[in-house]
Amino acid sequence: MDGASSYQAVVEAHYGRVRRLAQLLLADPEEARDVAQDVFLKLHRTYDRDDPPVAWGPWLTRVTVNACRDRRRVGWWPRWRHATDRVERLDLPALEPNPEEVAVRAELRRRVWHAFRALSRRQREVFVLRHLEGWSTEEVATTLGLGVGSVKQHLFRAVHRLRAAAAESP
Amino acid sequence: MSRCLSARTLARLYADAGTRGQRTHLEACQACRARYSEIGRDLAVVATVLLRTSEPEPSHGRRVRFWLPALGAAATAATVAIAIWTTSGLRTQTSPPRSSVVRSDDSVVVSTAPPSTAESLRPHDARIGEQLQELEAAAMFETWCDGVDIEGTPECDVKSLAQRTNSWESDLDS
Repeated sequence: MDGASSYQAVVEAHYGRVRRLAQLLLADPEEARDVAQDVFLKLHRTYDRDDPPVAWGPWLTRVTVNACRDRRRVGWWPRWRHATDRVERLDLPALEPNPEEVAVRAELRRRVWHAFRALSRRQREVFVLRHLEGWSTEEVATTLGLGVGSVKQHLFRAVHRLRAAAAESP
Repeated sequence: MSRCLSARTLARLYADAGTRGQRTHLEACQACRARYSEIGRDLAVVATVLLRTSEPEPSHGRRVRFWLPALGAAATAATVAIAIWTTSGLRTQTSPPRSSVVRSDDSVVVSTAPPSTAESLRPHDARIGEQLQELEAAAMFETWCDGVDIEGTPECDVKSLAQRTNSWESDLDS
């Protein structure tokens, strides 16, 4: 497999996951799309280096988390600017309903998302990396620059709140 | 058999925390294991929602929060501008002349400005004033007699100069 096609394979394998991860951490589809583009641009620059990462999956996750942090540090102005221009986010009737969306009741979906957004930034990052990305506690601690005990504490709070939201009777 | 673990403790164990004793109890207690599995099922639902469904449109209240920083900054800037404008206006209207402050009993005048050159050179008594006048006259005389027309100036002959010099020396001695 030549370099271009293998690069394309990495993009196809990880683009959806990276964009989803960015959206979970940023809560904004437009910003998530921008971050995903930045991440894969970085991948393109890194791909042909002499010392590429051992595994592209964890590398992309790490770069995405850092890019989301950088994006949040930029401040409130870009978020406000995007918030005034969201016509494309209006709910349009889908031609074919997503079976998974149908299966998950709207009320449960609202509660879970609300609880997830109510978590602190750290709690969200830890929960996403540990439970949704399947990283070990030690890997999460290293990537986020936290102690293992701190990661466990954030994870406990996130699990406690999200579980309460999921288990709550409608 | 020890007491069953609380929901918080089970969540703590799910987060890789908790003590060795709690984990030992979890392995031994079927009821606690069942409750622990429930946490796993609930979190699987959470993961499905987060990964497979789109986030609901934020409520109006959340959207409003985007305005709050801009609103706060504008309000702060306006307050500061009004405060500066008001303060500078008041200072212009009410501040006393910079040179002096008169106390309420009008008895003492306190100068806050540095004295002018004329004030600093003003003689403190009449004696010093006279001496200054004499010195100024002598300097003027010396200027007159320092030119090329010294011979033609009546006050500049040798005798007059000697008399004046003696007079100044005796003044200085006294």
